[in-house]
Amino acid sequence: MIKKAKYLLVCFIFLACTLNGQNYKTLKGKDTVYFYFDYSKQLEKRIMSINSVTKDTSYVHIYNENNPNKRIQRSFLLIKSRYVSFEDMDIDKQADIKTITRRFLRKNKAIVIYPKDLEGDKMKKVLDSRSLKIVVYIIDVAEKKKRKFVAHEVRLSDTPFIEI
Amino acid sequence: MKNKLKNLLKFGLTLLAIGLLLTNCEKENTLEEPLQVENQEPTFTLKYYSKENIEKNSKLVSKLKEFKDNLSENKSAKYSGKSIHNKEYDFTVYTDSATYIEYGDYHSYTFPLVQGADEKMTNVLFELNDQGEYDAYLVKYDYSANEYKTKDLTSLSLKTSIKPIDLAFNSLFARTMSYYRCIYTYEWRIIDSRMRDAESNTFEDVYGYVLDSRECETVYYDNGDTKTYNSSDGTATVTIGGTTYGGTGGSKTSPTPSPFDAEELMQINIVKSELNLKPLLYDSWINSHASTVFEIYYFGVANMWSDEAKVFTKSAIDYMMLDKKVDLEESFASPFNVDLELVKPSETSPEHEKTLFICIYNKLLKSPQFKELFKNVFEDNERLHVKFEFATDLEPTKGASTQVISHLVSNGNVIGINQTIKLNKDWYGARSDIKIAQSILHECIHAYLNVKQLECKETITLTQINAWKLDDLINQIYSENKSCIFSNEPANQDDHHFMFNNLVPNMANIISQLKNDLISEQHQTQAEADAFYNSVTNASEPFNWNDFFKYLAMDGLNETTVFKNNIKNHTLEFDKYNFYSGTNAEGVTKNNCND
Repeated sequence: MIKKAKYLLVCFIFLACTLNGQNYKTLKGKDTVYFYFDYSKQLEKRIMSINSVTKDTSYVHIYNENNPNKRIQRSFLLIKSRYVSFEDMDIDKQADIKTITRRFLRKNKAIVIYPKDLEGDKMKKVLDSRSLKIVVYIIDVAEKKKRKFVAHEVRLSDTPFIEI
Repeated sequence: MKNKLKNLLKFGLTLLAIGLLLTNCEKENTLEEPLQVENQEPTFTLKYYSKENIEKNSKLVSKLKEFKDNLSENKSAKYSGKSIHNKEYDFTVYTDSATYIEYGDYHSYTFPLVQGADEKMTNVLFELNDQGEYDAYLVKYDYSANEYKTKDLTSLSLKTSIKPIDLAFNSLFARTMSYYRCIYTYEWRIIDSRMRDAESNTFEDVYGYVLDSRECETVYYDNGDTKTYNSSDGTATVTIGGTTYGGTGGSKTSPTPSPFDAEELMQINIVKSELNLKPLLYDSWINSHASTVFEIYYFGVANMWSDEAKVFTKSAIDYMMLDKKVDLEESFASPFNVDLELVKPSETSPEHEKTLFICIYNKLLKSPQFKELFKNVFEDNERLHVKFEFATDLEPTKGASTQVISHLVSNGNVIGINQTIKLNKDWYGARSDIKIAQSILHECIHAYLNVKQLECKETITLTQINAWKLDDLINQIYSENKSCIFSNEPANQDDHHFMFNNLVPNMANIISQLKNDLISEQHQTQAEADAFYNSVTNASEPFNWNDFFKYLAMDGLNETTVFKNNIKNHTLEFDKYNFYSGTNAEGVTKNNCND
């Protein structure tokens, strides 16, 4: 009985370490993160600009933190346009668009940010990784096609502001 | 009886403790004793003295004064012809440092002449005679300072002469055709010690040459008032006009090269005179920081010793004397003294973020309004001293932070404020050049506002507050900070509140001047093609550079209530802020600043 318990404990510790390691590695190493945007209460989508040359419309997906227990609230912006950056526009490298399945989301939970994750450690890790030039995708549930999601490469920007 | 024994025991223990204490003290003292040559009797000491040490000897100072006055008179005689000019004494003696030698009751001071490093070395030796007065000698070597510093003594010509100097410059040698021959010996002596290993507290000896003149044999002369000649027993003297020169030999000196050549000394003197540096306060620092003084000279010349440059340089020297580094050119162009040592690229440390930072900082300095902003708004401040450094301990989303490291309060004034602006290394690597410029400007303003905060907390009284007039904007600005009635902002947001209310237009104006320097033409065109979509009117508005710089200037002020009330709570304003600062300003040209 004691042997069994010991065996289970070792297995548990091993798994815990592996999962944690994977979690950290996923954000820092693979450099890709997916935002699952479902238009819940604090999530908004607005037109930001229209390019007179490319006729491209840029959208901003905004998440406004609203946590009465926190003094500093954040406002995260996911900016979706044809080009993620000015540099990409220089070399005509358009934002990546790909189709993903529910299975993909299930398998890659560690790198998917759901609305419930926006105020947690997972989101903090994403923000902390920004200087590492992580690739950010938005999964807009409004763009769901035949049980498949469209992931659009976007730019992440955040603004801390005070809420008293 | 028992008590007596007890007392005796107590007394014994006390004696033992005192004994141990004395033993310890003795050990410590031995460390401070001057270094002595082993097995030498009497003891021998050689030290390099600064002006401060020399000036402790009033008798020597008075002799030196007499000597220097006579030297000046001799020099002027060369041009005026009013008195006889003695060629042999047509030199400048450098009296701010000397080599001091002590040997039993004997001691001497050797002063260098101001001469070129390739000229044959000459020194002036002052030694204490039996009457407790100082005799002066001219010591001439057959090698230059450069040769002495670079070659082994055995490869040099050791032809040496030590001649007595008549301090009245009565042309002693002009009339005597003197030949004062001694046997000169060089000795390799311990002159100092330096720490070899700090951990084990071990020291090593430092050696230097000492020239010893022994058995001076003869004095030749062809004219004189009174002639006494004695060459026996190693004694040689000549008496002229009742004064005896020379002696039994035994003079001890050490080759003392000139610290500066004539041109360098001229530069030092110009710095002293242009800046009116008082000798007692500044000479010691000047002599030990010659290379900095030459930098100051060239800086002064480059700025034609303008009043502004002089005031700045004097204040910079005061900081330097406190062992702070001040980059002169950059500081003069900056609103405060800056120490950029840790953020300037060098051959050994050429990191890209350093090159980028210095490039962007220099672009800011070129904006006349950058300096003006600080002059106009904070005109009563002493020049601050700010050190820049890269840090890795800042929050990842924070670009920079300004911290007061230390400060002093004297006579109701906050002085000597040391501040450090920490720059987030990772943040700098990922942001656009124009955002970095804004961040530097933002932190520079913090450096000034920190002073206001300190003044308020430490020095301002209620009477002073009541005495302030609130007539104009500047006074209003001051009152807001000095009165200690800041804002209702939460902790650490007072400065941001002040910036939001008073400085955003100025900041925007300064940053806008860097547009063509930091944003490529291509990115400007791309940005201009992007029309802002007004979600209130549902119409597009052309890209507006004024708005771009206005909202960029608000970066870092987001955590204030004024930001929330004026920007965050207004959809249109917040959209514009996100469009211009969050999207465009963040997206434009990165890592591209070049001079």
